[in-house]
Amino acid sequence: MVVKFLRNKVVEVEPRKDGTLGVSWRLTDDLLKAEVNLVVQLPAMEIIEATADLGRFVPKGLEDASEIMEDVEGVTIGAGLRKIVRGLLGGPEGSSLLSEAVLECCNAVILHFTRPGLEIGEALENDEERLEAVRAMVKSSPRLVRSCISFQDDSPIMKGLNL
Amino acid sequence: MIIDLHVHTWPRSQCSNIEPRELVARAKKLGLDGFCLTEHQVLWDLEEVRELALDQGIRIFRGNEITTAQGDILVFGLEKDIQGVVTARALQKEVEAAGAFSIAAHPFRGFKTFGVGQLDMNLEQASQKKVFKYVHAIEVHNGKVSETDNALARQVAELLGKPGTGGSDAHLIQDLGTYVTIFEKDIEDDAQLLEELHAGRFSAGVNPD
Ligand SMILES: [Zn+2]
Ligand SMILES: [Zn+2]
Repeated sequence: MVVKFLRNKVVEVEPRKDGTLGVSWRLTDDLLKAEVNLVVQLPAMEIIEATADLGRFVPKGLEDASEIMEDVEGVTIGAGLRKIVRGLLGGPEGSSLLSEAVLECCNAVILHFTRPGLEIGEALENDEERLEAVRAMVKSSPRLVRSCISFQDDSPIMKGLNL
Repeated sequence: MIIDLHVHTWPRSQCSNIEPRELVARAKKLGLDGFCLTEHQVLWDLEEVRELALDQGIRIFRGNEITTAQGDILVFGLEKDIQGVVTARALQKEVEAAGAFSIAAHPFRGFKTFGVGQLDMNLEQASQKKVFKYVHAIEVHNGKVSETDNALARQVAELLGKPGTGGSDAHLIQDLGTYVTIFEKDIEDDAQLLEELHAGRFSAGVNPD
């Protein structure tokens, strides 16, 4: 028997007219159609709006996904984010689908900001130069360090940086 | 009556370097009338506080600083043990049920997380921070944040019509009393402190010394 399973996932970050960021996360596979949308206030990095829309075979307990998502409104993308989001949405009766979607959204927001610096890094010749450039960027904004998931001590970026 | 409403001691707050004993002497030296022990997620036993305060002429009160998903909240008059990740909304329900009082602590601590150019929140955006929906008051003088952060908290409190409090958030003994809350009446115990907070008979201030 051949089982064919298709899954499509996309995360987009888009600056909005009022200065906030809109983040849209969409997943479609044979069983589920899920959409998570966040609005992030800058520069506080606070999630001020969080909604979810699930279709097809909605997992049990997620019928009112948007109501569940209200709990992450007011959460700041920063230190302790993973613990907070998983604690709110991914508990024993919660949903790892929603918590991981929110974390992927937040990650996309962080990349949105760190990209310019990282691109400079990519243009450089070798690993050592590249790391030096990222290191300089992180050092110039010390609050970045340990303040977001890409820059947690155990993340690949931080491991390579040796700050 | 001058009270430092936000103080941490070791070992109940592992991040603090203050020995409870040295607080009393320091508070006297600074001319404070009292202080409130607001450890992270733990409430002091009443008996131990009484023992600490014994005949020293300094009033010691008990509060609790609860970490919520929407930010830190100081609570007074809440005996219930709150653990794990909790939302400000869920905490508010507990606070209301207990007749307790809640204050959004250092609401704008480090709000400029990223060096993203000249982006700035306007006052209206800042006042929409979710945590404000779920508290009675706002800490407008916090000793651990920048003057910019405190100034924004003050403006937001004014805009929202919420009373403002002050506290040092001391984790080192020399930080005690940098900011205080000035109460109109003389306060004897936790119950009276709660009453005065609810009545709004206080204002945030800087210790005159
Ligand atoms: Zn705090
Ligand atoms: Zn504190």
